[in-house]
Amino acid sequence: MNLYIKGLGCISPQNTFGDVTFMENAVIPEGEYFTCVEPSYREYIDPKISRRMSRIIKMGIASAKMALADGGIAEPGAIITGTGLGCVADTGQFLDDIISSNEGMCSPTAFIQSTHNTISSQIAINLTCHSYNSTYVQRAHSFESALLDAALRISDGCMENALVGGVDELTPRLADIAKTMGLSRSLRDSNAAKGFVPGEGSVFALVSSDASGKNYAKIRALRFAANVSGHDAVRALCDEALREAHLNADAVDCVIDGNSSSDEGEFDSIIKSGFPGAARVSFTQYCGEYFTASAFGLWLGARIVSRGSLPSHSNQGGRAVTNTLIYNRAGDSYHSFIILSHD
Amino acid sequence: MKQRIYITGIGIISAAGNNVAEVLSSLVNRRSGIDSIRFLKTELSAKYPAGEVKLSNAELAAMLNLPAESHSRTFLLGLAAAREALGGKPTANSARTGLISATTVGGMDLTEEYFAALHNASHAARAADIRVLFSHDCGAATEKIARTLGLHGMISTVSTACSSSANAMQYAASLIRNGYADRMLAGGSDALSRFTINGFSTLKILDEAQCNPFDDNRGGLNLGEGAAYLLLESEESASAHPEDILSELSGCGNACDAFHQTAMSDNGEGPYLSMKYALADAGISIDDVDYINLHGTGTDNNDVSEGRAIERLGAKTIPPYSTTKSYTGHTLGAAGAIEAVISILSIRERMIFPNLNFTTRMKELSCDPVREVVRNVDLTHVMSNSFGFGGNNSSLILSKASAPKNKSAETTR
Repeated sequence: MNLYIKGLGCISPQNTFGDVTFMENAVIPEGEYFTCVEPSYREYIDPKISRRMSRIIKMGIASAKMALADGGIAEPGAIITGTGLGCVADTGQFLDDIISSNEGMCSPTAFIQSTHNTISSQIAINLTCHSYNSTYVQRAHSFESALLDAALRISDGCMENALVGGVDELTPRLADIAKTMGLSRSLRDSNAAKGFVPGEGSVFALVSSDASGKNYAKIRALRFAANVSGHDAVRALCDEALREAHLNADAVDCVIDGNSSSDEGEFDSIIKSGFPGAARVSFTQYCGEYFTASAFGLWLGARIVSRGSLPSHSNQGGRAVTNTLIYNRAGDSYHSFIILSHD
Repeated sequence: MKQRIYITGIGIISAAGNNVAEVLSSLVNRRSGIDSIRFLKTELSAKYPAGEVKLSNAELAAMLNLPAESHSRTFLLGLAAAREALGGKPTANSARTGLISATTVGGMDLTEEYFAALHNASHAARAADIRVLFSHDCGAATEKIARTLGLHGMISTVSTACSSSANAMQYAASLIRNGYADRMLAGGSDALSRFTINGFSTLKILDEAQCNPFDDNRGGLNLGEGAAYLLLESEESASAHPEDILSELSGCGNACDAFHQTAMSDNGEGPYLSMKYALADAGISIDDVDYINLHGTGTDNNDVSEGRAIERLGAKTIPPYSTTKSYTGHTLGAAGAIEAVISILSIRERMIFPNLNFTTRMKELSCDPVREVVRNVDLTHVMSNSFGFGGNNSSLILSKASAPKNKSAETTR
């Protein structure tokens, strides 16, 4: 795979946009879960329009426009979004309206904005962009599906570039549901043995087949499967990614990982046995756990590869990095591997 | 030249019938499946008719040999159609067979029951029942259908409102062309829910009678539910069993209207572009299209926009067109696949199925939809349109299949 990351836009629980030094100080949220640091939206969306938009749509549009501005492209060849749960605030609002009014008078706004494709569509409307437009909603592989679609369409020659994003929002109700389900633990509860800390984020990347000019990184491989379990099968998937990238495992300088599975040991052993010499950075420690957290992983990986070293506050801060592997594991069967290189 | 994508299996369940044979019979006999709401528990059941699948969840589960635990209806409908599309073919190379599904509501039918019950339930009851929310997200049913059918290839789910399953087919074709799979089951499933019927009700675009799309006096759409899947195969894979080839997916187009979240532009820019791109992808012109299966929901806005977009394509003679929404209702995320299956039935049966309830030509348009069943008509290329909220517009070209280039094909012909 030869795909170049030309622009990035990231709204996350960290200070990841505007004039800030890359990951200088990691933000540890004070609440129960990670919540995004949001920009002033006036710069990106007409306030008359943004007034009725939920957070996820505003974050989506703003991060998409950051990526386009960063990549110096006005109109992308495609807009493809991955979102695990879509517009949950609007969905919850409309559900509440239906129940509390006993299916009486409900406002259409929440319904209109509840559909999963609202993010991609509103970006297109904001840009008046008639290009290919799609939305993927496959749990922890929503972003990976979107990225693969972009990569295939670009390699098929349908377009030169694409805006690809992973966007999910967290609401107090959703955090509460995750807790009641026994999936999550509070950020403050450091003694809890199990469970992830819920998070959210909106990351867009402008990817292109054009190697010339500024690039953060080259995406050399993308492999994912939603029905893989056991060390050997996961390792085989990882090997496919290495083959696609034409890299040996020992060329990987850094593994950026996110894990929400119950089997910490197996996850660990894939990385430790496969990449014993590589530095290791968890991306979910910065963004929390959500279905499209791997998009934040891609952002982190691309920034690390682009500057050539790990964030200064990490335990191997300053270590040189040329090739990085992003390993996202969600639940026990969703695994994805993305390999980035300094081009 | 791009690789051919063959369709070797179809499955469907909708208000117009529980399988391909029943749906075909409804279409041939101009029998609509739109009727009073029987299964969905909603306050709006007396007000709006809908295209419900005529089986309860318990009946569906029994038909599918599933235990009677609570399943999302989206999963049950999806499994029924997916199973029919596979047609009992062995999935021995199941690692090379995947599933790209599409839905707009996913497991909303169970979610809304859970939240309604929550209003009166104690916290303990809530914790006990909360696992039902694992089926809420759109990807849940896809995962469960693939697992039940033993498909071990790639899975994903598309959600682009009413064009979802047409986009699922595009993605599946792209995966096959790029060697990620030999065969992909692609389509979509959506169950009726209180969420959607109340949503469309607030938008005031639901017809209180059976819909009459592309009619000057049309009164809106009828919601429907259902599922359809198509088995897409590479040329090499299909050539091993050419007798199963039904059609070729020869062109796909996707464009965004980029105009408004729920309304379509007056001149139909998005629909115009999606049709134009699909024609270009198939390497044909609008004059090569023998029939258009319209999106044709019956709303004021859609039908004007779609009709104008078709006229803008500049055909010497506008191809015959009709919409089958008055048989099935608007099945949202499933509509693209349901209508792709119907388009293939048109090609196979050499028939065009007419609009129902049409009387008066729209003042904005220069021709009428097909009004009677047309028989013995040779259809080489059929265009099927699916347009969604957010201006997500997609068009597919389904064509009479030419023989796959392979020794085994040559010997059979």
